[in-house]
Amino acid sequence: MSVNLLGSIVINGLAMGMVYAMIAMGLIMLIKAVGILNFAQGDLLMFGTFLVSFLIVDLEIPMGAALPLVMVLWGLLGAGFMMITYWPLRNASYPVAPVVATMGASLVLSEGVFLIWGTWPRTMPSLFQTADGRPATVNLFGAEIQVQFFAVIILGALLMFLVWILTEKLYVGKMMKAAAQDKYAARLIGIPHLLTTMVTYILVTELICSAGYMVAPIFAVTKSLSSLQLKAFAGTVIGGFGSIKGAVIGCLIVGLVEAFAQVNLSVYKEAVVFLVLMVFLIFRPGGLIRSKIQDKA
Amino acid sequence: MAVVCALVMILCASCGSSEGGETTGSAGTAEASESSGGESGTVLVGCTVQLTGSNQLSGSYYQNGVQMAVDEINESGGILGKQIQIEYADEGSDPQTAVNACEKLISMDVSCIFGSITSTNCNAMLPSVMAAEIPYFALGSNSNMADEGEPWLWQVRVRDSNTAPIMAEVFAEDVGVKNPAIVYNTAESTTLSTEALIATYEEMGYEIDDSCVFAFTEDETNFGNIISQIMNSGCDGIVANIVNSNQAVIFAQQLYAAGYEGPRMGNSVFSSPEFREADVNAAEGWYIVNEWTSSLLGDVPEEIPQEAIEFETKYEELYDLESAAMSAQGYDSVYLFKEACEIAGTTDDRAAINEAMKQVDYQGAGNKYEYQDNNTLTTYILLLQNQDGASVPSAVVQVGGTAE
Repeated sequence: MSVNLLGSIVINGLAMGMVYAMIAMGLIMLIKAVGILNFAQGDLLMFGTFLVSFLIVDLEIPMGAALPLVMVLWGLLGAGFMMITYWPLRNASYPVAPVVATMGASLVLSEGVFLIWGTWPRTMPSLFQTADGRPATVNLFGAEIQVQFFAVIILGALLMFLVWILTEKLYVGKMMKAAAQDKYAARLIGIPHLLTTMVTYILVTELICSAGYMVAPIFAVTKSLSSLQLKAFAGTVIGGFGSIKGAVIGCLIVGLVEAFAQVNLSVYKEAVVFLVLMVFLIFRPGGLIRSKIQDKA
Repeated sequence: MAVVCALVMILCASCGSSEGGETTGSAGTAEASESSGGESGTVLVGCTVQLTGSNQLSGSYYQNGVQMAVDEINESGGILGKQIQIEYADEGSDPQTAVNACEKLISMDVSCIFGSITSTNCNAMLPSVMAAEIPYFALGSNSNMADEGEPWLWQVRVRDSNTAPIMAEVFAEDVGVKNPAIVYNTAESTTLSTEALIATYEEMGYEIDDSCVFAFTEDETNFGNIISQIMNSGCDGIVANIVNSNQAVIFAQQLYAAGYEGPRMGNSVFSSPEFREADVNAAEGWYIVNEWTSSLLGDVPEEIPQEAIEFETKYEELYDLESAAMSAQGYDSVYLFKEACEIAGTTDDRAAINEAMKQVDYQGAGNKYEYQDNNTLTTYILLLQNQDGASVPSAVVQVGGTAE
């Protein structure tokens, strides 16, 4: 394998891993905060990306003006998603009800984009362009790699760091954690359950839609964006279900495995990723990073 | 009591609506019940079309073309004096739904079925169609569709086994690409087409190295590493066989972003309006071998028939958008059925109509149709190149022949 191909594979793999990691981080935040495995995570990402495309491409709103508006719309999307799929079902006698609701929401979002925006493929301009409008590239050991890939890696790392600060270091994050661990006790000390839950959903939606926005110029804005969720699930399990650190590492592994599998095994790329997942499930079912509770047990 | 009454009303209402079943719409001038015998003023025909799911855009193109022909024929007096009534049944997004749609039309005793635009769904419907003995117009291009000699199947597409050799010959001899990288998704039609393409290259004396052939699934969206491999392979061009226009857009866009500027040849989706318009820069320069282009309202070769230009003009007036290949093929299918009915002198004797299909010699919008082996009807294909958002025709190539 030549050095330039190796460089291309590593950057591509890391960028995709970072996208999966952002989705996985959102998954784990929801699991920790409300105990829900969200099967509509990829569809939220796709819907959010169609929203950006609508504002920037269809309405031709300049990027600077569109971005705050997009953040608000993503927030509303997250809050609306929570109010429909979680809040009315939070006390349901059948505890899996909210999870099933996310499956239904996945279909609604998926068909919703067809109804609203049609099936015509949509493209998004790259954030980094050359003078002739071509996506900007960087020459790495002879391989031309889109600057957008580097941007995905950097922005992904930055967003994840910010979420870590918020959840681990700030009072708001501690409130969210407390509400998640014991809703009744949190309410007694004045932490509003509705507010903390809604903030979690909004944060998760902002995080995953940002991932969608960053990859849209590379992968176009199509329904297939929702399929990114599957790899995020795989990365979450490999890293250790419930651990944000583990999910990030797991997703980076998935991204790299997938990228290397594309050389000579491109048709079996998905199979290779899930084969790695099976190996982990057999030999290390707790994942790479085991939670403290698991270790004590 | 009120609850019982309400339930009875709901049941009655649902019985009434179930007559339509999965059928999502009908068009025509008379009631379906009059037409089953075919002697009372209407001729009932069926059309399966993807009205929902991921292919609904293609489905709408197809339905537009079919409906346009039905309206034209009805306005000009119908078939043998009978108005056409058409029932549309939704194929959805999976073969089982497509089979259900077909069965629904069969149960309505239609005189013919204008079938699916995908080979997979055509193949899924064929056993039902053969058992019911109904003329079936297939818009799938799979080479193996009629290999069993199905007598009721009429393929109104150029088969992939014919298209692929033309792609190879044009790309190797006219464009000068002797050592191409070949990318394809692993759908049945594109896999068979790619095998035929490689075989033709090898027959011409150009070996295709395995390291220059890249396969991927229909869900693939990340072509970065494949493109890196192509750009490092020393191949002098790219041939792409892709089923889905979304995937074709993504591939072309990533190729463009990587700075690839070599010659590129694609199958029919690379000339579709959605491909050309999604990213004009990425679509620019692609060579395509396809039966149809909507870019006909300008300077075109003399060999392009007037029927094609008239169809495109009227289509754009009616629907305010460019047509797609399935629009013209759907339109032609209805006229082929009309021709066969007129030769047979009947609209309801399906065996006679089917036999008459062998005598049809018809210049349609999308092709010149003549009976050939394996019940295929098309006789030529176009060589196109994408320029400034249009797929410009440069030559008409006889199927199995050479460029005119």
